Amino acid sequence: MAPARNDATPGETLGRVLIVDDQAVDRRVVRSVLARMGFECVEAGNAADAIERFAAVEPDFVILDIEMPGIDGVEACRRFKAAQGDRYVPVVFMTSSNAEDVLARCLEAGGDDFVAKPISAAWLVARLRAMARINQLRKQTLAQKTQIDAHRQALVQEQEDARVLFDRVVGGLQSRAGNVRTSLAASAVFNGDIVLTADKPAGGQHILVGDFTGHGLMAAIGALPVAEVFLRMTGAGADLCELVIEINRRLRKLLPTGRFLAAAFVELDVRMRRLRIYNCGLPDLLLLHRGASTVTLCPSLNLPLGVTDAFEPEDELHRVLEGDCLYAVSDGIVETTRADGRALGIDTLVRALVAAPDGRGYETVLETWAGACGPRRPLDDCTIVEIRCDAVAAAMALRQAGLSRCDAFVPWKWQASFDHEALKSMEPQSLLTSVAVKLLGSTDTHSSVPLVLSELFTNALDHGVLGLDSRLKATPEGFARYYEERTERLSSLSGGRIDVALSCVGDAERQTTSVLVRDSGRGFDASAVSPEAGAPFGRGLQIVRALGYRLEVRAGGTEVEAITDASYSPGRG
Amino acid sequence: MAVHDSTGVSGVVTISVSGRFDYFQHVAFRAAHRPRHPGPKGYVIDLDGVSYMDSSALGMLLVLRDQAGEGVSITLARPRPAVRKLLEIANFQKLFRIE
Repeated sequence: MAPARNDATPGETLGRVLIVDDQAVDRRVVRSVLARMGFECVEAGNAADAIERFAAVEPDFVILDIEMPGIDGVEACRRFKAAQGDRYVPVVFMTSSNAEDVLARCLEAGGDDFVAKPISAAWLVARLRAMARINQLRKQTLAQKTQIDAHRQALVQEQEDARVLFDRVVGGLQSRAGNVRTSLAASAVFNGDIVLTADKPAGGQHILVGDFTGHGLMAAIGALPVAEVFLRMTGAGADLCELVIEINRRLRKLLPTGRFLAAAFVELDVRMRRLRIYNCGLPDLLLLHRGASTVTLCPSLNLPLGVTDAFEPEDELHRVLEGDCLYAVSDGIVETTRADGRALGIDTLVRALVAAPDGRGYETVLETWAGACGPRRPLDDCTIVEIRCDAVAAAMALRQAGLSRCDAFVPWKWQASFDHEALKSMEPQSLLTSVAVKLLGSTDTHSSVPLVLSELFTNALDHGVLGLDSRLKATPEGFARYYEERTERLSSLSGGRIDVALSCVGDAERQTTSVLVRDSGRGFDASAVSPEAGAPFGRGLQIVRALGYRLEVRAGGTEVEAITDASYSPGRG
Repeated sequence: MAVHDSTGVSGVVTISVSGRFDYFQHVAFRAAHRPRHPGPKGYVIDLDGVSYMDSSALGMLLVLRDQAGEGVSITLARPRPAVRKLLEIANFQKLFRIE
């Protein structure tokens, strides 16, 4: 036998080998070869003994004679493999047989290699060196996997932290809108998706459905200013367009290049039957018309937010009725690959919604998606939002409106006049609402004044100055035409004016609030105003009365004043 | 190779991406539009081989646009239907030429 080189550096071993053979002579031969190579050798005279000591010895390799009395080598191999657990311990058989069936049995039992007896030292050495290399590779891979697992765990932790952070800052500020359902609530990690709702002081609702690029803390950091701007500006009476532009500006300043927010901004006014959408990078929103069982697609018309400074958002306006529902889904849902390899796609969702039983749209979307996923469900990447046009929920929000209490009362009056140039260029609605909010309400009490002011002003502008007939809004085509006509007439307005006066007189115990709007139009016959269904004009003034205001109509209908009294018992507050 | 770049005689750099265009391509893509002297006249991103693209890839295109600077045209070429749809939803035709 040629002498074997010692491959190990001094003080190191190439590994520990368990030599199992009932013949002491054979064990000695193998031992001498391996020890000179640098292996640490442990001997066992029979399989039973070797199996018992296997766990304690912790060998890196086993060299095993097949033909032994008692438990034979093949059975022993099975037991070693079973005892290995996470480790990989190669088993090399020694056999003087080359019968194929014997060799086949060895491999089936889990054996990794053979050496023929009489042992060739060179052969044994070469085989063991090759196995040592494989084992080394395996250890490296295992170490890398452990590292990767640790990183992954850290990422999940980060996303959980982001969720906690976001909920603490934003959670307390949000309204729990009765007409919005979302699958987002269940998520324990922050995956970059946000859904926000806020009531507008002048009536109606803003909803934001957003999807940040990236997950985790980076997405949460972007979400915080977005939520703050959304909630504050809506509460102050800002118009949806102003909000979209401001959020874009903030994200453009804050986010690194390449990061953005894909979002849909929705303004819903159930009473006015208006739905306005700015879709900035989300898949088509789906508007399900309950009565007609049709779906209108609302595609993305705008770049996502935070991408460009030159941002001129385009919106879409829709007429909606009680029971109509708007659906937004994250792109993860649309891209879900079905068992047949095709993507789920918007068309499938549309068909499912059209066929869905009344009031089960949300469940239908969920089921359709679950069906496409099959058994593997990526729960965290799915966001479904349903926004329902719910007159009952809207009426409840209205009923919460009241007059805010002034502790140290000082009578005040505020007046403004808008000529045709101001009406054309300013669209004063949001200015008036924010002024009314500032004068009358803090952010957590709802004042009815912004709503009343908005009603009277809209009537004065649309019907008084612009001369529009709201009966046009009764049909979907008429609805679209009404707003086109409104834009037309406003941009070509060459005369007309509207005066507004807000005042509050009295003392700490009794206050009278007045909202007065005067326009330069032709007036209307107040006695002809009635609460017809489908006539928002008449219904508008009814709402004002329902909020506890009495109406005085003067000068042939060109001046309308809404007045309400409130009493406060002394010491209340 | 999933990302491959080459410079033509007209000074236009072509970057070809194949397979999944997602976050894992980010280092290679960044290397493909490394600053060059002289600066490229334009970029063509050949998306013919891209089977799947996600929002992180959209982000990479924005980084390219930022790095390339004013006056350097960027064309997104030959996107497959699903990729084209993604670009449409993001309205990227407002920022890039798509053909």
